[in-house]
This record gives sequence, C-alpha cells and structure tokens, in this order.
Amino acid sequence: MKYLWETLLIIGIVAFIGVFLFTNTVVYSGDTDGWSGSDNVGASLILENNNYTPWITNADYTFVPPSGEIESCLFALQATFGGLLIGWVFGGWTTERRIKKNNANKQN
Amino acid sequence: MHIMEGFLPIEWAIFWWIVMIPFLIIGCYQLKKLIKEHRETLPLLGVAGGFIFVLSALKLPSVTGSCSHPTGTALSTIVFGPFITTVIGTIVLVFQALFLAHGGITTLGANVVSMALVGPLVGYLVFKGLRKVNFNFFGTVFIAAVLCDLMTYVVTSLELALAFPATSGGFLLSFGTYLGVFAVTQVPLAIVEGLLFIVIFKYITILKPDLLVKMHVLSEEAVSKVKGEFEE
Repeated sequence: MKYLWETLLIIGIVAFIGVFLFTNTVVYSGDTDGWSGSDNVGASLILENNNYTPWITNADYTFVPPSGEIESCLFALQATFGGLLIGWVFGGWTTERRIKKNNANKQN
Repeated sequence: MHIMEGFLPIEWAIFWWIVMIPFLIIGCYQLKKLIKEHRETLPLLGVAGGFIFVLSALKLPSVTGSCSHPTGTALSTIVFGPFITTVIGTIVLVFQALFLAHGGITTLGANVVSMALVGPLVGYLVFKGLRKVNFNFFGTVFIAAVLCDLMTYVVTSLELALAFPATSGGFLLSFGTYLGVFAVTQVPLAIVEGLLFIVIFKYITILKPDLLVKMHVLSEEAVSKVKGEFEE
C-alpha cells in the first residue's frame, strides 16, 4: 500500500487526540490542575517530598519570559525556526527531483 | 524532561556535566569530520536539527493529565549517530535554558545526558542491532525513534531518583514515582513520534536515497527493497 505509513500516522494522531479529549472531558472534568507540564509536576514532587529549595534560578543570570503568553510565543518561534529549515531543505530536494524528472522526460 | 534550573543539588549538577563533556567533545570531533568529508549531508543535518527544534518545542497533552514534548532526536541519531546528536541537542537545550527559562545551565549536563546522549545511544544501538539481523527498515526506525524518546524520560527519572531518593523506600521507590510522572506520560507521544519518523524516512528515501547510502543507513540494495515496499 503506497500510503500505509501516512495512514498509520494519521490514525495515531487521531487516536492521540481522541484519548486527550476523553481524558479531558471524562477523567479530568472540572479539575483545574490538569494538563500542567510533566517538568512542573516533577519539580513540585521534589519540593513537596524533599523539603528542597532550588539554589539558583534562571532569573539569576538570564532572561525569563515575563508571562505564559510570551513563553508560548518564544516556543512557537523555536518551532517556526525548525519548521522553516525543514521546509526549505525538503522543498529544495523536491524541486531538484522534479527538475531531474522533467529533464529525463525531455530526453526521452 | 527538562530538569529545572537549581533542581539538582550542586554535586549532582557537576556530576552530570562531567558525564556529558567527553561525549560532547567526541560529537564536536565527529561533526567537524562530517562537515569536512561529507559536505553534501549538511542539508540533512539541518533537517535533523530542525526536527529537534520543532518537536522539543511542542508541549502536548497526554493520557496522564499532564503535558510533555517529543524529543525529535531519532533522525539525527539514525543518520549521524548519537554523539553528533549530543551536539545538536546541547544547542537546543542551551537555547531553551537561556531564552525560555526551560531547563537551566546547571542542569544542562543532566538534561543533555538524558535527551541528547543516553536516549539517542539506546535508539542507535537498537537500530544497528535490528538492521544487522535484517529486521524490516521502517519497523526498525519506529522502534529506534520510540526508544530515543522514551529512554530520555527514563533517564530523567533516574537522575532525579539518584538525587532525591525517598526517605523510606530509597532510590527504587523514588525512581518508580518519577517514572510515573515522566515516562508514562511519554508512551503515547513516543508512539506517535515513531510513526512520524517512519514517514520522514520514507520521504528521505524517495528524495535523497544517496545520502542514506553515504551515511551507511541503507545499502543500495536495501534502498531498492525499501522503495519497493511503498511503491507496491
């Protein structure tokens, strides 16, 4: 099957979204603490279980996004940078392949 | 998988930096050699880095009620090996530590060891092992990609359990607790990431099979065989 893997990927993504929607509406219905990052959950565990105080924070030496919105914006910029790079290279390869195919067709 | 800044006691932060540095040096050496000897692979190296940038920025909700992100290290690991992945992963993690307050410089060693060293190393060894016994190429890519992702979170759990063993129950109980937070959340994400990398490898095999042959990912015969699988 020509598009077997693409089909499986789409099924995987749809199943993933379905499980999220089910969990969100049924399991975590009305729970305002749900869906925080696993990094934050791990950090909370350390603070709660070990009476630990971090000895340094990012704010001590670098820029810290002043709000969740700005943090999301910076993550989106990171993803955009990676996405542009991927699109540029794959676009170049696709064009190169098309030109080669056209040239081969002309010669035939 | 990012251990936040200051969330490792100083002795453990130093320990993971010491573990990271030799592999980072090997990775830099291999990268220099790659650029010198196989300049034509640079666009593919860019794509591999691009996937780490994109996927590690995507915080996705998972089944356990928390969010996590894929690692995107599989392409780089399979094509360029685990140590060049260490270099690319370090760049991404430094960027996130300095500009996004995600992770930190003191915890960089631990974060690099989990996401850009042990995860990729396990994925790479499994990929090479399965290819040696002629296991299906796309099946191998899937397993390697899932392991690159999942092992990252297992190692993060290990790092935290070593630094913070439970007062009663010790290391094992603590490891189990952190596995519950990090690794269980990651399982569905790792499976979708595995499927994504199968599709990516399919398109690289269509568009640039010569690069995969050059980097010893596939032999020329294997390229024809693999192409035959999805052209049927």
